[in-house]
Amino acid sequence: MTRMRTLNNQLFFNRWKMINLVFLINLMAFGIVMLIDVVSNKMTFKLVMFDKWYMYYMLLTFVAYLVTWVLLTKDNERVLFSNKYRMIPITEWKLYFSNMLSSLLALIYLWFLEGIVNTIFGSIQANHFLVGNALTSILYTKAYYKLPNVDMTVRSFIIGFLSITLVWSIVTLVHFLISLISDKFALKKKRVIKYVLYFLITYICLMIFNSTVSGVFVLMYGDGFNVLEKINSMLLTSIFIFIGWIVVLTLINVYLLKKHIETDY
Amino acid sequence: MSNVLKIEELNYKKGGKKILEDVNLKLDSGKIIGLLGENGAGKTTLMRIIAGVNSVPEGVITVNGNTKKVSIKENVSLSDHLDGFKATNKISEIVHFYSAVYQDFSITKYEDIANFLGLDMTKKLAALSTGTRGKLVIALTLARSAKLYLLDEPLSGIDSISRKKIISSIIRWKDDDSTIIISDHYVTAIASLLDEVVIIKDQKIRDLIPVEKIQSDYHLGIEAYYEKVYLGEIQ
Amino acid sequence: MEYIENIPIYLQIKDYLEEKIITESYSLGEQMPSVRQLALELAVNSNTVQKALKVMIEEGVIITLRGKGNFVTENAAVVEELKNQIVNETFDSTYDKLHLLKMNNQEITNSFSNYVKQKEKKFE
Repeated sequence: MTRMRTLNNQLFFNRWKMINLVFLINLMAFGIVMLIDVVSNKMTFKLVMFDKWYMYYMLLTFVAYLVTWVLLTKDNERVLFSNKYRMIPITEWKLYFSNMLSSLLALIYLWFLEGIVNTIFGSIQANHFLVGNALTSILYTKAYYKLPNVDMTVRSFIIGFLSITLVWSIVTLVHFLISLISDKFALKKKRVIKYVLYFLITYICLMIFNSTVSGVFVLMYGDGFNVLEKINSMLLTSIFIFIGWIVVLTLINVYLLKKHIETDY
Repeated sequence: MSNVLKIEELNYKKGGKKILEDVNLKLDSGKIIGLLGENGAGKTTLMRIIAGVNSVPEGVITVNGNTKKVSIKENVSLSDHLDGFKATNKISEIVHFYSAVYQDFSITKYEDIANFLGLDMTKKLAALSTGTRGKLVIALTLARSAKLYLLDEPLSGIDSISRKKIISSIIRWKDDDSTIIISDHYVTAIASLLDEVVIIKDQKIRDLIPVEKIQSDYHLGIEAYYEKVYLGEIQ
Repeated sequence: MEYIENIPIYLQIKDYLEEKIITESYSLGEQMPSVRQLALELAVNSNTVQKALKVMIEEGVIITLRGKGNFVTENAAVVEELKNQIVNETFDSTYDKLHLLKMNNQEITNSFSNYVKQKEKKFE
């Protein structure tokens, strides 16, 4: 168990450094945007500018999340295909979980950092609510502090993380299958075939996923779901569907990792 | 003497091609064994299969009585060429990683070997010459106290002074009861180190032969014997 | 030390160490370096050194004291015997060759003493 913890620490530490870097660049980019804005406004400073900045910030944050997601996905794959990690005396299960867990933790860490900045913005917004621009303030405070249903908030977050885990599981499976197929049959034009396979398998996965999810929904909510309660219970159902898929994909992935997947470097 | 390594009925294919066929091998502990074969003969693959990094589709690998991959990995120290590390990683960071994930990794032992080889902790991986990188790989691999060390071409591409240093460090830090397998296609450089030789040819392993038997029965050096085996002059 | 490829290294090491004992690089009763030290010095596997020492122990040239290590024998006769053995081995092939040239013992002795005289002159 201790070895799994050290591995977790190692994996998380690398990603933690990566997230810090992304966040720093995010803040720097935001600082530059603010500076440009102030300069182009002839150095006058108005509180209203906060709202525009907040928009910029949200946009930059979105980009940061996207970049982080891509980087984490790549790193996730790298670990499973590298001697550096595969040589460690630890079962494939533990390696797989460690890997997934530390990626999720890294994402939560980024979410936490962005949350701090958001809170700072939120408090500024709340203060200058008195000055003006009521609309945005109401929107933000509502969105942050007064979601209609606590249950729903929690479930949305869970779904958020589950869907990320699910997508990572699918990406891993796709990568595994490609490696498996190109190992079993000596493929020429590996690259081309690799990309074709990527698209094909991703497409198939999405199709299967889509049809199951929508199938279950149609079965359960055939009469439509306009009511909030229905949405809420739909979220719960999605959680179960997601977990089901994650379990299945994890089983397949770990089996493949154990039996077939070999290191590239 | 107990078998530190036992390979039974190993078959291995990749990309629809046979890489290793009907491999059977038993090694006694305490020796230094040369694994010889052409480039692409399957030396690296065999080492990775033994180390539990590659999967074993057909056959049984037993290391020091263990057949489970995790226990095998605990008993085997495979030389990794460090391609999984970032070029910006400092040696100190790599050493830290090793000491964190391998319980049998001794920092004191690492430092002894590193001092002997002249490795500088603050250097970055990208800044190392091939020779220095080879020394780092050896220091990291030998700093674990494993039963079986697998050194995959530790001397290839390395200048002769570094080679001598690496060979000395192998002699100096090998425990009496641990076993070392060294693969190489330059035989002469490691010839004086070897107790026994295993030759891979045409996906198969020729039986293990003691170096002294090569010298006294065939009156040949290892290199000459190896060439004759490859040319089919010795069956 | 350079090794001849097709002769077992432990035999070459044995010869090398015995030469050192005869020339008193290692004197009578002196402790031998440890196996590992010798292995490092000679750039060979310690098993090989072990094997060379084993043969020398069997011949009585080296004596093992438990817990203390290996020592050169204190018996000068053994070393003398060793020396004679080497001298004989060296002469064996030469004698056989000269004999093949149909030289008789007297001729062989004469030509050898001439040879030694010439050597002496060279050094003067």
